[in-house]
Amino acid sequence: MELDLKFRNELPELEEAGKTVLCFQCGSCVADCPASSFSAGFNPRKIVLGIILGDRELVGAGSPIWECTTCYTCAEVCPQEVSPTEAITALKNVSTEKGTAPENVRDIAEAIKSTDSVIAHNKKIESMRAELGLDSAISREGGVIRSILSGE
Amino acid sequence: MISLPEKHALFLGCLIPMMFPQIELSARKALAELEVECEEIEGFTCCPEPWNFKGTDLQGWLKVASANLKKADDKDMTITTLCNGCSATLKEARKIEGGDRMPLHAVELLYRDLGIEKIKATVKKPLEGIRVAVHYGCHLLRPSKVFKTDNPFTPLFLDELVEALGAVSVDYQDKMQCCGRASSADEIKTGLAKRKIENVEEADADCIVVTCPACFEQFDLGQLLINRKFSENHGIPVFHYFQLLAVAQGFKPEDLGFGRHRMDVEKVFA
Repeated sequence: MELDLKFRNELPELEEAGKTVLCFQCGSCVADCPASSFSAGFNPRKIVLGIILGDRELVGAGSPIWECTTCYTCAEVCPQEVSPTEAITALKNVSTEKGTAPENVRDIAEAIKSTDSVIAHNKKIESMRAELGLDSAISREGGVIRSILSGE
Repeated sequence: MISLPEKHALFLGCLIPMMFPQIELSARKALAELEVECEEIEGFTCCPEPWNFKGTDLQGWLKVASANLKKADDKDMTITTLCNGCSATLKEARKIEGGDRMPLHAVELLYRDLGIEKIKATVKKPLEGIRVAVHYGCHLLRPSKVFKTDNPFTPLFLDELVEALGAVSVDYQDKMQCCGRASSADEIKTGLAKRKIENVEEADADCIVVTCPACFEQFDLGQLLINRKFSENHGIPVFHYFQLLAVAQGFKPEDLGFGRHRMDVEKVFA
């Protein structure tokens, strides 16, 4: 395994990922992690260790980071106030920049950027709402998120 | 009208108006019954969603969330959501960007701003004898340092809101366990939903109550998928809190669009 101690400095700071260096590997996060209880390959303690030591495989294709349920249990139990959930989100961002994020995740994010919505708006939705007597106030034309992101 | 300290902008998000409009229907009826005026604001987008969007583009996620917050700020309104994901994104963005109007989930509005007695006063048909398994959903409570909703492991407020309707909130194994929806690994996603359903059945509950459309889908549609995959026969009805509230307020179940649920709900009100 190739290690690069400077790797952790490349993670976006928005998510307080820098706090991972305070981890002393107690494993409280793993004990209560719902994802770890079903997947032996998912271990927040090891992911945080990987960040500290600089294991770039964490942002490679097939990384376990995408298995996280983002439940924040680990962040609540951590005695060092590390948030593995947030650190994993930061790793996901770096993975996306490298082009190694799973295709379905990228597709969902791109679809939201195009349509302003998790689900593309269509006539069927309007007729379903009309059946319940709800108006069509939720129509989304798309383009709003794109213009926010491009700063227009 | 009662005088509320804040004007509320209803932030519907995506899944509720576009996939589960029956939840929106109950929420609108129940909020009107409580004389809460929730106004609409044109131009809200996806909050954005705090797993895939946030996971791929943190800076963009914050920009779009801030734009949604600004639309309500400009009208001196506080955002109220029906979805844990929306409230999580908007609260976190508010914490990062600053500003006075902390968005809230509508169940917090009920509990904190209106209070249990006000809810009870609108109950015309108490849900006596109905055993409810309360599922808070992670993003209603955690991260607790951002949300400050209730204790992140032993919360009570949603149980109290359920009991205000005359129902019983039953305890069950791993009550605070995540629904699993946001994991990209199928064994985790399905495994967590299956374990939750089995624990709820073990406690002899009549239904599950959630406050989030993602948890709702994970358990309602989820049981159908689990039944197919494992040749099992689960059938626990799943409700958003506002649906049970509307029924307790006297709205007829047949007028609330329950036919759209995958798990038959009729037996609960029989």
